[in-house]
Amino acid sequence: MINGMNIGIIMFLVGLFGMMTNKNIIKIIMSLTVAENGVLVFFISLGYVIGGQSPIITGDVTNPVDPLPQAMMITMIVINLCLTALALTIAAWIYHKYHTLNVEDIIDDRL
Amino acid sequence: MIDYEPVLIVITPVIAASIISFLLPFLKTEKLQEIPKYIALTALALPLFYLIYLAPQISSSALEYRMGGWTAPYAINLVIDSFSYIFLLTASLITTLAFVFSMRDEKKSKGKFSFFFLLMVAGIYGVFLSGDLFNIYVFFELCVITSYILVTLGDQTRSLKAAFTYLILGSIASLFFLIGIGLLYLNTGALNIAHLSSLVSRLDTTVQIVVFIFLFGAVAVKAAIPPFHTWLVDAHSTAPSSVSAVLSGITVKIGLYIFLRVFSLGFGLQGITNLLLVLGVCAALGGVLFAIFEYDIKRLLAYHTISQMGFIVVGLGTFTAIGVAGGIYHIVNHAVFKGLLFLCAGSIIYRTGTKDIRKHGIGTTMPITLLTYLIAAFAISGITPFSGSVSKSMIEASISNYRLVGFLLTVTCIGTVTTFSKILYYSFIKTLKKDGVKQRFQEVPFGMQLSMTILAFFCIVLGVLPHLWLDTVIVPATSSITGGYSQISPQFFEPLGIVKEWILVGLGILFLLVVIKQRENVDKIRRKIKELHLNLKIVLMMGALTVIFLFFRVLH
Repeated sequence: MINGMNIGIIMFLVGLFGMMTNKNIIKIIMSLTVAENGVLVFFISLGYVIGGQSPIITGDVTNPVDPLPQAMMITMIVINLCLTALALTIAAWIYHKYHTLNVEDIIDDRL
Repeated sequence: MIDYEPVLIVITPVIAASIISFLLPFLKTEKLQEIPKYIALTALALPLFYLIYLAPQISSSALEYRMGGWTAPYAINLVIDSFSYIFLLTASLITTLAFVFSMRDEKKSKGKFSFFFLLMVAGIYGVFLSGDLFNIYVFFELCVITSYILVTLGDQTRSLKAAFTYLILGSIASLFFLIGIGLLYLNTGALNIAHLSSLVSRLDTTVQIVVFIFLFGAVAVKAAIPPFHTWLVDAHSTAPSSVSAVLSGITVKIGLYIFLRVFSLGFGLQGITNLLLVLGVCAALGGVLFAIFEYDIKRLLAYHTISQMGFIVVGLGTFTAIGVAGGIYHIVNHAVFKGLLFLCAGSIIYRTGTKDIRKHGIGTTMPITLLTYLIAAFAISGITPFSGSVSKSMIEASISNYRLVGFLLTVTCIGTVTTFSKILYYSFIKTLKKDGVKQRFQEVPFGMQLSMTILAFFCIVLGVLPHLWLDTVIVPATSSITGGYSQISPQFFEPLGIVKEWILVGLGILFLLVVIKQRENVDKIRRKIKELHLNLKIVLMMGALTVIFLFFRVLH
């Protein structure tokens, strides 16, 4: 069945698969973002009601959608922004230290 | 008004952090740059006083504060009950002392360290305070994002890779947690923990299994239960020592805290106890085995975190009153002695400049470090008058029906003795000679000595007066988790048990001799272990989750 929740879960799994198979740090971060957005789609469609309206501004809405998941997702978007920014910063830093972005090559065997 | 006390606890570090961030541009001279750390110290110590002040109230009833004045199931609520109270108290103690320990190093980072440390502490308090699942996620993210940054402040090269792995695996865990929350919300329409607990048991079994798998995946990564533990060792060993103490002492326990909160929701699944016992024993034994091969003092301690978490998981997994009480007691004990061990490691590294225990050879030139290390080592090995023995004996009493588990945990105790006498042998007993002269080291500065001594004091007090702590804090907390609570009467200080402990110490030291003989082979194995890279770690996690899912599918 094609609906938002299933698409969200599939996006999450695609992202997870990307994180398992990609060796490049930037690609891993991109996969993480895909997975995060999958969860976001999942949550947004969780509160969706067919033909529903948003219960803000006017106040007298007969068929409202559930606003709670959307409120939660705004928080999640902010958190994900932080995470992605931090991950990219660390990636840049890693590149300066090791001159590679391949997770297999970043080996430091000093004690 | 006393109602808003829970808010004060979480908001004090946040306010202090924002003050520091505003002050930073104006702190030009060396003298002025001392200011942030005193602000931070005040903000870290204040919650401890709030909590002590709140103690009489908590013992009678739970304290709840609803943000914004909304009514019960809708508001964001902060709750302190006797269960979260223990965690809050331990967290405030460890974080304050760890910060005191790191105050001397703080100058180099120009206030950045204080800022992130305060935000991390705010996140930790927030998780323990919040009364609904989504808020736990938000505060946990605050805690971990700042701890990723704090990990990178460590040794600056290996810590980068460690922080990146930690970030990716931690984010996957958070996404799992979110999907679990979403599924719960889809099926029950509630997020408030108190509200959910009456709804979860009515769900369909298949839905329960799926929700359980998602939440368990998240919690297992956070609590570092094998095979989800792969991020822990690198992250904890490369972070600055005071941060390692907090990460190992408190942040890992957040996983267990969420675990207990979520599983007291009332999942009616069979086989959870078996699953947790198997995973707990794997953690306990595996952690010790890997620790034996290590020569890096902080990696050694980090592996021991996994091992001790195994003990706690076994205790909690039995879901009996004595097991859960033992588990909670061990959480507190572990926070104290592992915090102390990391601080000892920190002071050794501070003076010798290396993590390799073969290059330490301090001898008796640092008496306070040696003494506190010995107390902590006795506590973690479970020797009787010290703290670890009490909780370990309670956990062992709870698994009297499972002989094999008891036997394997005893083997783990032998391994624990081996690794800690290994550190003792290499770092303290063996003295290295440089140009024919024995090396001499100065004792660490006063602030470091102070925090180590206080933690060592708690190691002893928690072990000598077990009934005091059990009756006042641990047992009320247990009763709020196990629901119908029965009186427990653990036996401590039995002569037979003490004899058994010393036999284990003897066996451990014998095993150490074998390890020292075989040190070349041991070094080869150590190099093999380190080769696991990020992709494989994720594959391992997903494989394990699939196996757990199939396990439940077959059972039901």
